[in-house]
Amino acid sequence: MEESMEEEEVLIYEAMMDDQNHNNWEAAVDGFRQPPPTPSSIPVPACEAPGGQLLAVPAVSVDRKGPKEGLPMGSPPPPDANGVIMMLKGCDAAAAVAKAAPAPTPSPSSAININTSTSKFLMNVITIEDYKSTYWPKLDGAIDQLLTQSPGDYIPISYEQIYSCVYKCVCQQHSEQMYSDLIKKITNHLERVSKELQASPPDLYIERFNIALGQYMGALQSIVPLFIYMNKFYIETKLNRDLKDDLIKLFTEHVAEKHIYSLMPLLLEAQATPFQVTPSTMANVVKGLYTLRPEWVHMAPTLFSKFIPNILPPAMESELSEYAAQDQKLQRELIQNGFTRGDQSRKRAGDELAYIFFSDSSSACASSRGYR
Amino acid sequence: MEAEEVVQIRLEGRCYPVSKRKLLEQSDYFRALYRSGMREARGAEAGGPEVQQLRGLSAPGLRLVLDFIDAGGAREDGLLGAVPGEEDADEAGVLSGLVEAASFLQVTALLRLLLYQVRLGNCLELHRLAQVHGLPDLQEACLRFMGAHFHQVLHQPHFPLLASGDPGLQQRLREARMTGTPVLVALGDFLGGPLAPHPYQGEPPSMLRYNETTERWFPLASNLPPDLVNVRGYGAAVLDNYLFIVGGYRISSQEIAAAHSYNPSTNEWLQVASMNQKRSNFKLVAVKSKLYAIGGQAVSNVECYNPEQDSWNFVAPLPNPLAEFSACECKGKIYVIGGYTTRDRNMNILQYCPTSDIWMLFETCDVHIRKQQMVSVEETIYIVGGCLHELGSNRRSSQSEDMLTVQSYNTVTRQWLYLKENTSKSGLNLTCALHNDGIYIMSRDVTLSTSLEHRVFLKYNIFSDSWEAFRRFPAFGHNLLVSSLYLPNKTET
Repeated sequence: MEESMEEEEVLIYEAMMDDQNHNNWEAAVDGFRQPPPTPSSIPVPACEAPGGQLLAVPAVSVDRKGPKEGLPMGSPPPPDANGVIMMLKGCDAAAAVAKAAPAPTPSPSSAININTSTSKFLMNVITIEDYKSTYWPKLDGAIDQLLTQSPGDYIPISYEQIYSCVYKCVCQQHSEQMYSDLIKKITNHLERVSKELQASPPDLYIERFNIALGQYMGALQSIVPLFIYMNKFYIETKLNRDLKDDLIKLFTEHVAEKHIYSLMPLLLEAQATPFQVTPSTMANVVKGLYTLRPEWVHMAPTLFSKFIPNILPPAMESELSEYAAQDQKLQRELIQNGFTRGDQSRKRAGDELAYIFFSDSSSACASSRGYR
Repeated sequence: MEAEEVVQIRLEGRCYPVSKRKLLEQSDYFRALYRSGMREARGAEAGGPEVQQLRGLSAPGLRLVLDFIDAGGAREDGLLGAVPGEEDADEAGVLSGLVEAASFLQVTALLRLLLYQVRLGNCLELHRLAQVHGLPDLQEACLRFMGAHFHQVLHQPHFPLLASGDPGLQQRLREARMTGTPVLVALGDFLGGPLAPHPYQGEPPSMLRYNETTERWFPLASNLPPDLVNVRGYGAAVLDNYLFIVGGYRISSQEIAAAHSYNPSTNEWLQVASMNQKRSNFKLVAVKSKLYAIGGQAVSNVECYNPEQDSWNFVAPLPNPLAEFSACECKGKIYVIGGYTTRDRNMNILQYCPTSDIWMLFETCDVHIRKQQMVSVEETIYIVGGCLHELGSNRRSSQSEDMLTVQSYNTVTRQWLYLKENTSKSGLNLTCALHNDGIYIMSRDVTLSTSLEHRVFLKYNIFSDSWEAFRRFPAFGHNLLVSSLYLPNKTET
């Protein structure tokens, strides 16, 4: 039951992904282009040139095929195998092909050269209007979903679909616009997150900050891979920057910086009161802040040193007695707070604590998806 | 041992099995996909193989890329070998499919390999694809290749079509050719023997280059094409950093129409289209990306060579055939000065405008000059050597006729300046070239009347108006030509 719900969701999503610009048409054309492979057949490499294939898509071939093309391998039908959508697409695609077919010219050789080298992906010119009305909204929707879901949730979005959309926009020279739209979108989102945080009561503040941080970093785990084409072929080469760094910086500027001064006293206070905040939350928040801006260590070196190795100056032999005194003080305090040292049977529980506190990799925290 | 995990890549209803490990190794697309946690990252459904759907790519292109991935990204010389021959109309399609699939899937190793696959047949297409997919390295490699093979690229049949989509391309390629080190190059029938400069033995080289710091001549690792040896009276000009040698006559005194160009970027000679008219003792001048072959022995017609079409066409002829005249380009126009018409001395300065294709009388001068050489800087024409004869003057004409002089003529103010003379040198039969800050002049001739040998290699510095003599003359020989070319930096030792 759950499975079919999911599938439906996907289909709706895919339907939404289509648009009047036939952005998805090549998928449908693919469906019609070749006779359905028989389940036993070994894949035979197709040899026609892309242009030839395109021209060989007659509208007649629409009824040659059933709406569902069985995968020879017996996997579940792909989401685009929706009969109605495919039918519509088929017609549109044929029309698009007809429209895109070049007018016959007296010197066909050169004209054909140009035509065959035009890829199916890039066949339709994407104007800035197309980008605004069709492509960006699609990306916008996907980003929204990724930003608002909880880390670890199942993501119903197809990587291939969104990546293709980014790819097309980059190849059609919309990188600059897309990059600025992406930054604008995420900035707006983060400003909203920051406002929500501001409204949190102090006792929930750290926890909510942790959730916001975790959710955003989780979302980046998906958003950054979606935009790798833009990152590689625009941001890295033209701007000499990195998308992930840019997006993390946005969180620093629009959320963390605005909250650091209210957050820090609460963190210090929570640190002094064991279990006011769960140790994993403390660890996440402190490590997160350190990732965002290492200089924040100076606001509370001792607090940060509990979670990040090697940030305090190295131990000095001359101060050994002072360290010992500190340890003794800590132990006294623990005893006062009900932690006795004599009970050996509690050793395992103590181990767990140690694990949470001192494991150094960010992956140790199950709910966090890591910041790097 | 467990079998390798295989992913079925599905495109247009066909499946291509590929090792998942290799996919992750080679393709940034798949690495990011599995990292993204999105729908396709879940992997295989229970019991079935894992299928990854792709759309929009061309099947042949994808197959080439997957073959590459399957080979573990090993260097495969036959990468484009699988692509049909150049004449095949499908090649561009397969190539674009390959580049697109490699870009889409971000198979960096394959994209890097493409840098070494740039050929004359695919450079334009690869360049376009590199622009579309934002591959700056490939774009750079294509530009470098096209710059090195500029004229061959220019007359590729699909160049005009592709260039129309990229109006700046020609200009960028032209600029790319003008990089490297400007080097003085000498051509000639150099004689071997004990007096030949070391260190070469055996056949004397026909092409030398001058190293200005050591003041020595070195052989260029290229020789005149055999059919240019012993050709005299040819026309020579540099166009787009190609040295053109056109027409002339053989010792056996037949005139020829053949044209060759030396490309310093590839260190190769190419035979290009022959002129329509056989001619010798004419002038070849480069103006606005074209060559003009002007006149010749008893010939008044003019032909224009367009490297884009690799063909010669007649343009407006000279008013009369001229002998012992000279010509040069100046500010986009051609100027013809001196020599004889069939009846008389030519006292007229003629100007040719390539845009309007019209010869006009620019000015009539009162000094007659013949057998001179001409170069220009901005609006100034430098007239080097030749025989001067001032009409109605009582100067000792016998003296002035055989000395090396440099004069300038300003085409804007129409002012003549007598700049420099060197009475001990002959101004006849010299060759000169504008190079860096001066005019380098070379001649080696035996005057029959005196049987005195003139060996000249000096420089007229146009900024300081002074002579600078060099000790080392390239070699004994005749039929000399000196020229200034940009040589690629790597060969400059």
